[in-house]
Amino acid sequence: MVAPAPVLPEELVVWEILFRLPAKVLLRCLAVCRSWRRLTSAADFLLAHHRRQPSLPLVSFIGRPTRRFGVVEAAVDAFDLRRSAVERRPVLRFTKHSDRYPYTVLASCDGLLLLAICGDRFHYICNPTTRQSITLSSLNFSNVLGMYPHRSSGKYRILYWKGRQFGGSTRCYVISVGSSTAPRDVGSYLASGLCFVRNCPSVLLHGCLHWLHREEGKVLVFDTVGESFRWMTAPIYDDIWEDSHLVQIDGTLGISQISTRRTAMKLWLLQNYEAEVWFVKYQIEFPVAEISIANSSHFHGMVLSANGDVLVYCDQNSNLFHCDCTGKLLQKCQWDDVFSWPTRQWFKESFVQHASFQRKDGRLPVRKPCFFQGL
Amino acid sequence: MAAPESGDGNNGAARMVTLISSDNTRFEVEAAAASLSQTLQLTILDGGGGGGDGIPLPNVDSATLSKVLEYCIKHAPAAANGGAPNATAVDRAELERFDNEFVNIDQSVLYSLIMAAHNLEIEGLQSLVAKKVADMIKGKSPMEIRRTLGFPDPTPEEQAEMNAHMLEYGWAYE
Repeated sequence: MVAPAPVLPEELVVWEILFRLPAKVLLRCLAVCRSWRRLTSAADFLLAHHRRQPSLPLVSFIGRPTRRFGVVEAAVDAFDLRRSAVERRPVLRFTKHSDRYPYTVLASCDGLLLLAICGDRFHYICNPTTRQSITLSSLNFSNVLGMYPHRSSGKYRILYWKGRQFGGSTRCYVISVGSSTAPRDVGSYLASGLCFVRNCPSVLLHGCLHWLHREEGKVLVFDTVGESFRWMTAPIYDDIWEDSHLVQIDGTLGISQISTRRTAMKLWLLQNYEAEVWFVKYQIEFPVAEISIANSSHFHGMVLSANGDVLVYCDQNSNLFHCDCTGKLLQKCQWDDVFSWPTRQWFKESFVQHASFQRKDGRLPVRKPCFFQGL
Repeated sequence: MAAPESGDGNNGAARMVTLISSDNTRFEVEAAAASLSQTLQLTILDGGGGGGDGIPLPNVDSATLSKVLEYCIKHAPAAANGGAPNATAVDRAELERFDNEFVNIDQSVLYSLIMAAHNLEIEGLQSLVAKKVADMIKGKSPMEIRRTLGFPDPTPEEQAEMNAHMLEYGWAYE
């Protein structure tokens, strides 16, 4: 006979333990008892739980097809690199992926992902934490620029452009997710610049979406409240740096870039958002004996945190390297017969409920969408 | 670790503070270590806890406080560095090893630590003990979790609700 285990006060269990659990473990715990379910389904708990989840970089994996147009498995995982052994958290799983119909994670915001499936033909918003999703037919054949929350309506909005890449007919639109109103035209101003920020994820900060416009050497800003575009200065950097992209480091806008000789990375931070003052926070020299990307045709690096640790990808052998700010190699991840690359999107698990996902009968859809099939 | 009371905590070396457990044991520690507690930080910044005064902690017994301070002393140097740029991978690995060893304890001790970490607001320790509980319930069925945490067996009605939840979120149990 085992002695009865001591019991913790319920509030303490909820706020000290359940609150700190990763989403999947929390979900399992909800079956344990009624009061846990009640306390953890409160809006304040769900929002607090989301806020404390780490923001993790998403890495995409595709199996190497054995024959042309082969159907393979594909996955998107969140990488937790905070511990000494990388933890992969499954986010999306495709069981039947054809390389003729690529998928893209277009935007990520508050635990929601905006996906394009089959090129730009089908669009979905999904919450991988709750496995909910909806299709967005109005976005078909458009070029998504970003997704952001609209505070007063509580809905999410998507900014995209349609039209020819060059010439005057490019226009930008905003749609509200889960609303039947027609897309709103927010003008063509700077729209030609938007073509260049394609495949360049936006960074949402201070109620604005930001993109690095490499050709202009400036940061393009969309004010989500006023629905207007403007330019911001980017640090003046010489042309020996490449692979530049915007990052968000603890609420500060940053630029991560790789030197042309591909032996170092630099992190710029926007010290003063209003005055647009940038400074170099880190320059990280790669351990070139271990990380050799000089001859890679596809590579990129991203600064992961304020600690200056970086994730570097190169297509030779499909390697991912994790280094600290001193350039010391912490981890090397390599997978046989799998292509992997960082998506440059970040994901933060969330159980927060959204009205757009609710079905009228309150049940989950029977058929899983293709990106949840293998989960 | 229970140090005798000392009156000269400011001899140019690190500043010391005295903490008094619920069973009246006095602990002398560096202010930097005790300041990992958000609850104590303000008192210490105001100059409290030095000399013969001591800060009483009526909710924490000496066995638990001794364990809490062991954690704080180990983590204080890294916290002083902002935990960041100077922390090498070796330092981080060493702290991780210490942490794993530290929570390898009885459930009753763990529960006392959870309450103490909560009362003293020591963020790192709060995460660490919560992670230990998470590891304890990882891979267990809701019924096994109930037993692990000392819950009584569910009523038939509760059992039915548990089953319904498991059916709805079947994927979380794979």
